[in-house]
Amino acid sequence: MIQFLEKIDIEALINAVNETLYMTSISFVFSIFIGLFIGVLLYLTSSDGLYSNKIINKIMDMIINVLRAIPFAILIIILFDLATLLTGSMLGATAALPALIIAASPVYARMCVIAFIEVDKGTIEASKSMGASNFEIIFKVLIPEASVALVSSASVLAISLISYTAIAGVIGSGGLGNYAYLYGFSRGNNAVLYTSTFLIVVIVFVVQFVSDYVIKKIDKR
Amino acid sequence: MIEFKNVYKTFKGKNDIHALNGVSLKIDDGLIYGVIGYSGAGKSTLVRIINQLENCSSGEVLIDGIDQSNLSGKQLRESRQKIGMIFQHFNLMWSRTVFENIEFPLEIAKVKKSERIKIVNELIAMVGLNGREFSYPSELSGGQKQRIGIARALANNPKILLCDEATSALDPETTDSILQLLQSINQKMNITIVMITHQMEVVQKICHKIAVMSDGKVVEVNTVKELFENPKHDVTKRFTQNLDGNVKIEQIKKELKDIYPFGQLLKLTFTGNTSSRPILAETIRQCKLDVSIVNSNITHSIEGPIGAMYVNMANGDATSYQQFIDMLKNEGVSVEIL
Ligand SMILES: Nc1ncnc2c1ncn2[C@@H]1O[C@H](COP(=O)(O)OP(=O)(O)OP(=O)(O)O)[C@@H](O)[C@H]1O
Ligand SMILES: [Mg+2]
Repeated sequence: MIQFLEKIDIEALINAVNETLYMTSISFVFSIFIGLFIGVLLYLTSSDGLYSNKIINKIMDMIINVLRAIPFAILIIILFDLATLLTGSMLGATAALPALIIAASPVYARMCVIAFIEVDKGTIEASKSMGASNFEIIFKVLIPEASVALVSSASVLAISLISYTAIAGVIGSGGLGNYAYLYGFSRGNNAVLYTSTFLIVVIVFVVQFVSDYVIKKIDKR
Repeated sequence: MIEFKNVYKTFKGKNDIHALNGVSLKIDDGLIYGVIGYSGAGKSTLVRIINQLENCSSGEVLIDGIDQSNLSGKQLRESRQKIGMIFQHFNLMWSRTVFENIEFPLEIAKVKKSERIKIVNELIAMVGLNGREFSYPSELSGGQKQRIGIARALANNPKILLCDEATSALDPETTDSILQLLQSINQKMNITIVMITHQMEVVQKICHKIAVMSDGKVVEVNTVKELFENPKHDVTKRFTQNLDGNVKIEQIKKELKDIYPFGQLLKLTFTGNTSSRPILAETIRQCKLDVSIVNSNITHSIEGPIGAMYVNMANGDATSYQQFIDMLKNEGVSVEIL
């Protein structure tokens, strides 16, 4: 056991964990907001939405489908190039953020639309009949009534993001994926490889646990 | 006053559906106004045009003389705050407590928090949900949910309350209690109530006036009593005789005859102007006939007992049968020999 631990550079490991948490949480927050925003727009412009608009709906739909069709490993290479051009630097956790957000936002937007479609049409209609404006309907009815599905989708998204950061890490953006690949796999150091994997699994479990807890709290259906 | 002027509504689609075909109707203030018709007759469409959840294809809908279809977005939202609506499936928000559900329309109307708390508490007491303020709708029964729906609809002190099949998802007893609540609201707050239903029992109990709809048209408008005494349209007859819309009256007669081959089968129609004495029991006692009740559907309306009853009399001769019929007629019961 001691021997096993000796092979691990604790400081580097902690640093890797921090980087993973940093990448995941920043990209999570951004993709939740961007995804929710796009999701609301998609829902509103859909054929029986509050601001039905075929053209805008189709265009957004297409962009989302294209972004979702590009595998993350390829998307991040393309965007790394872009980031290098823009900032001159190539590596580091921050460099991975644009790719993570661009990959995750469309996914969450889709999940939001599904959540909104499941909101009872009658409830929306009732709030209309009480004189609610579209703005009030979105923020006081649609989102709260979809909250359970929105939270459970958010946890799926967070978990996807954790695995995306690992892929980003292999390409060179730091974090546990990077640590596992560079110090574990490349140097044949199994202790590092398994410890990193174990920590990623732990993070995923924590996310799942938190989400289950929140859902249990808010689900009054 | 709510006034429909030659209203048409067509739902465009592969096959256009003409939901309303020229409806003209006046609903006076303070009434409980029933709209009855079979499924697809256009009742929901009619009521949804009142608060513009649906707009009409042509014609006008006026509330106190104001055409609802010409209102701006803001004017329409303000107008809607004065028109409460309750629904068959309650349409409450599961994410809000009873209290918060009732508070919602007050938030929409930008009422101050302290005022909101006061109004909601009054409403909760009025619909009899004390102690359940902080429950969630999922923890309540159907009748209780409809009470939240009613309280919510009344929060902004509306002039009109629209009820679309408000009791159709409830059992008969709960239906009665909800109807009583609506009746007392009508009396206390002087609210015009428009009640849509396909169940005659529901409208006949509390409505002052009833419009009968068929195929997107209003085919007959009258008081409950007049509709029972003098149904003119076929649909009205089917409703007042309380038979399923698809069954022919002749068919029913034949079936009863098969079951009761002996004696004489009668249909007694009570139209509300009978006294409160036990007329039937007294008459049977005096005539000494064997009278069996075959089928009965009598309810109490605001004008007294109303409905039809099928009885079979046996063990008598033609004179005693006639005597029985005459006595009932004298009491204001209309008698039909089948
Ligand atoms: N949004 C809609 N789009 C297309 N057709 C519709 C729509 N709403 C109603 N209809 C059609 O209009 C007609 C009248 O419908 P409506 O809902 O007013 O009937 P109803 O009398 O309320 O019936 P029910 O007792 O079943 O509720 C029906 O043929 C129905 O299919
Ligand atoms: Mg209907």
